[in-house]
Amino acid sequence: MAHDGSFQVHGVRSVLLDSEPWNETSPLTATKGHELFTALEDRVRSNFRRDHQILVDEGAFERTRRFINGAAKGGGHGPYKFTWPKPSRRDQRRVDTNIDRVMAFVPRPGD
Amino acid sequence: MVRHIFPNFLQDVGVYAQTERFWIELWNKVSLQDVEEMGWEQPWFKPLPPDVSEGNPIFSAVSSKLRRGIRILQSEPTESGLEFFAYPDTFGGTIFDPSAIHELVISCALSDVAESLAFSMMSLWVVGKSLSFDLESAGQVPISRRPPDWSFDRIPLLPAA
Repeated sequence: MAHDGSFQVHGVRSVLLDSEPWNETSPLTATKGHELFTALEDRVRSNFRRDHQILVDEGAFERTRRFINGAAKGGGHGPYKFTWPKPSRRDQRRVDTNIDRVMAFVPRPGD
Repeated sequence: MVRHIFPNFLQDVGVYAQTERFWIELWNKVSLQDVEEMGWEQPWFKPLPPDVSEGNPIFSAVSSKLRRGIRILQSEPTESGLEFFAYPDTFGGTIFDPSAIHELVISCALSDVAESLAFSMMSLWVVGKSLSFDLESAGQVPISRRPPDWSFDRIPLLPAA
């Protein structure tokens, strides 16, 4: 069964600026989740500087990383959607974490 | 001015639990017949511990029959006026994906006015009606209940259901 989901960075009026999906045969580890999310942030920093800075100021990237770690502490998590900033910005810039199917952010064996 | 409800819900796990119950009780006021007919289930997402989810969401529900969901993100108040913002989103695919769930997302600081607004929007959403996210022109909030600083951004509407 596929374990899938995505990280998404949205700009003004919810326009999808970039995303990093996953589709795995086993639950995505928190470590791999961090790798994917960092790759996404790096691209957004390069390609959408202003949006990136606004979302950094809102703590969106930091809070998403905290969410991954929090989910991992509980052994991973099933379908879920986590959105930051909160409260939402009226321009709808945001970072979404979508665990679409089954499970993600499990701790790596030995962690 | 609005009357805030459970403003310190992130500071106390007991208050957090009360806040979760508050939203479930509000949900229970939505027509049971509508909820059952449309196959709504809540919670949609299995709740995470308060220190992980931080009210994100504080409440969720889904109807696989309608392919619709509700997600409520609650924040602590940052001002004395109304803090309420709603927007459409999708889960599990884009808006063009037939398997995607179309979401009503409400981001608010809980208050008497926010409660009333959220209830109005949820009541329409659960029966498959289309929503105007410009509530002023939709007339869903009586003028007498609108605080002086009332305002909403205009955002695109979902296609009529």
